Amino acid sequence: MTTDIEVERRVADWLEEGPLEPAGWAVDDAIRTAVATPRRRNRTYGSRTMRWIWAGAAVVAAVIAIAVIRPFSATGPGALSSASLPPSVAPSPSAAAEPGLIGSWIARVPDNTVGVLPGHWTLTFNSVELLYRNPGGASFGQRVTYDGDELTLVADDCPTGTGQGHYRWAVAGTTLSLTLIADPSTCRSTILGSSPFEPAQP
Amino acid sequence: MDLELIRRAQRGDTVAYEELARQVAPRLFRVAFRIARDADAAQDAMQQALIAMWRGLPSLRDVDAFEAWTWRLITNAATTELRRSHGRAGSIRLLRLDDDAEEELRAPVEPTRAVGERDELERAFARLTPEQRAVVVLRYYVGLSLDEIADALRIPYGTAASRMHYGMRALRAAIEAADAAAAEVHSA
Repeated sequence: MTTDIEVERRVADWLEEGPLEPAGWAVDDAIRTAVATPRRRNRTYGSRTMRWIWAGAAVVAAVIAIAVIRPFSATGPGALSSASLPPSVAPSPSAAAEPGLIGSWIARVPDNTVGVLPGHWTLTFNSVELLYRNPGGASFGQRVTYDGDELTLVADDCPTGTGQGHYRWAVAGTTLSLTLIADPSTCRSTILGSSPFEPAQP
Repeated sequence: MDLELIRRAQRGDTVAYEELARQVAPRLFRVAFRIARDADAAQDAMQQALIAMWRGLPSLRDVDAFEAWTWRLITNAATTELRRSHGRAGSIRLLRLDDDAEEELRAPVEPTRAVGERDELERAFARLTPEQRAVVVLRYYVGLSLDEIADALRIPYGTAASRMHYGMRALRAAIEAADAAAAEVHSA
């Protein structure tokens, strides 16, 4: 009969075995994704403060409602504060994740006639979501699914057309190319079509 | 743990958060690996926990409770990953091999005890529920008391004790089975 202490010691010894350090890129990716993620509200405020917060939230909600209508627009409130789909879903890596694509990429969207804000856009791909950061610093996200070298994005709210977007991706050296397969959203195709994308600095 | 660093991260200081995340990531990963017994699932859980840490920090009222809070985050993430990884057993995941740590991660563990006992423990541990695994790891790897585990996981003491009891009962049986097998070999 093995004593309790002996069992505990042997279990503890067994648990000591195993890797000690995560891969550096995994920590980097988590930090990069985290700081691009909205935070929860601090619940320690007093009631008076909460009233102001709720009032502020109502104003923000109104602004977001406008932004949802024209998230990519260069004109109107949505141009600099768009947040049509806040990236509230934490990445949840799956078997479909494409490691070559995962990470942040940047490209300059040129002047255009579809209303997309020109300037540098950052795209951050994780296993479930594509996060956009526009030249004004506003972020929003869209769900993405991968199938080999193709990806599918959910319907967005581009004024010129909505529906799922299908693209082919390729990483050559340090550049990412996104090739349009089909996308009724000219807003999105204007951004994603601004290939090649370069790795964005964290 | 640097409490001022935690407070700065709470206020939204991304530099402080990054430093804090880099400090806690290794221990979160180690605990996640011990619960999930899978390096990929452990890294995924660590990432989930780091993101949850950023999102939840403003709601953490007592910075002294930061460490216990991170045990809860990583336990929740690891048990979730464990359930998810059961659903994708057999799949092949591509790995980015651009980091020295990756090599260490994939290196076989140096055998420090009888293979038979380790195999028995692995098999027994695999049959435990994710919650039982978490309690065993927090007790015998992290070194928390049952009170501290119950507090960290926000479960009643009796629940923690029950999970520990069933978990250790299975592991004891594994050790005794390995001992019996070893004795049989010696006597043959």
